[in-house]
Amino acid sequence: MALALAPETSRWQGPLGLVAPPEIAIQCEAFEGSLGTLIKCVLNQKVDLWDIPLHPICQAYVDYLLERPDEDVDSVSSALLAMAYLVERKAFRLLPLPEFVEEDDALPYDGPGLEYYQPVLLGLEECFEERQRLFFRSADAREEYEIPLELGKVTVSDLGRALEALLEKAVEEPKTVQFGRPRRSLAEQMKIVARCLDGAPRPLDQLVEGEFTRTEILWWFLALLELIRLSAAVVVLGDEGELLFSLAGH
Amino acid sequence: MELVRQIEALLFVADEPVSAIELAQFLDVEESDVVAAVQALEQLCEDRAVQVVRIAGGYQFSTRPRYAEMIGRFLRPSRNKLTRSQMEVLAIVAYQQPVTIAEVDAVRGVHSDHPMRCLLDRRLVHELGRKQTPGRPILYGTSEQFLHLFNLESLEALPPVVLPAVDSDDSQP
Repeated sequence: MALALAPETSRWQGPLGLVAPPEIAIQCEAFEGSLGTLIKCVLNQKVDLWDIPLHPICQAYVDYLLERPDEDVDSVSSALLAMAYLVERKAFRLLPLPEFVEEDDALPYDGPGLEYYQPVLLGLEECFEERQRLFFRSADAREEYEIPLELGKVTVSDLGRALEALLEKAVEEPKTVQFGRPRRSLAEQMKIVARCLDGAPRPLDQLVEGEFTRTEILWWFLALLELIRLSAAVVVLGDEGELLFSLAGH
Repeated sequence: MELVRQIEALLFVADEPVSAIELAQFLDVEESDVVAAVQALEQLCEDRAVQVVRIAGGYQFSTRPRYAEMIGRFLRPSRNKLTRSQMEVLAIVAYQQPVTIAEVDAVRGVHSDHPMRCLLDRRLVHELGRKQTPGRPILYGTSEQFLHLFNLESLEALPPVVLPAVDSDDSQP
């Protein structure tokens, strides 16, 4: 099977909301065209994946990603989803189907065909139209109600200004982003922040040491806010109006 | 009359159908009292823009159909109409449940995995278990969401259909 990278063209937005993978041209006996077209054809059941080897396509696609570390993460994740769909369909296709396995025992279907359901379909469509004329209370009202946090004299604007002050100290983000770089979960980050908060109430610039990027400090601050929300940490106003953070109970 | 008011209050805050049994258990009254109170509530609402509807196995407040256009302009709801293939699969599942996807395929004569997946995503069908046949295929049935979307109180309220009798596998010697 021949593979080649075609020139960059506009990205295809598929029916599942998937952003197209790169324009990898595929040429084999069963199919000739771009990867995006292949996914479209598979979705529309116009191509049998049985005849198309997926390994070289996946390899070419992964190589493409590795060569472009600055690629938009949303596009890449959506496109990976598309590839996963292809792999899933292929795996499904490779499973033995009962009618092939038990060909000798298979009985012809002599039950009611679709024609028997035509009057029902009309009836259901009428029910659907009738229902569309009724409106009910929105399920949004059922969202869990959260008691507002009591932060004393500290306002959201104070917290915002504290974050802005930290962001000003942030160093530049690295220009290359490695795919698959492990990132801490919020729970892990909260443990780290909790360790920093141990001891007497301190201002933010004393809690955060060393260099940090904007992404890192945003993640750090988010964990701090989550600790405050869970009442595991507290924030108070100092004598000079500065924000002091500590673990609850200090 | 107090029971009618209590039920009115509960149905007002409920965002999904509440059955007579649930209301009876919660209010610690007989189910027949609830049914009678709901009927009284229906009469009380006759001159109002909202009504009590029996849907998906319970009672729920809804607006009256004659205000549909006005409310539609106000809320601008997105109408996700089902495709023809989804409707076909849904009808077969509704009348033949519990049913496997292979059985749905057999009726339609084409593969139904994509429409079935869409229906699962929309929670109109759900898995009921597995059929005790080779491969243990998944059995599907319709959900309460299906009843709600089609304004049905229960599966008994489905439009009638006359299907020819089919010999089931169990009857094979």
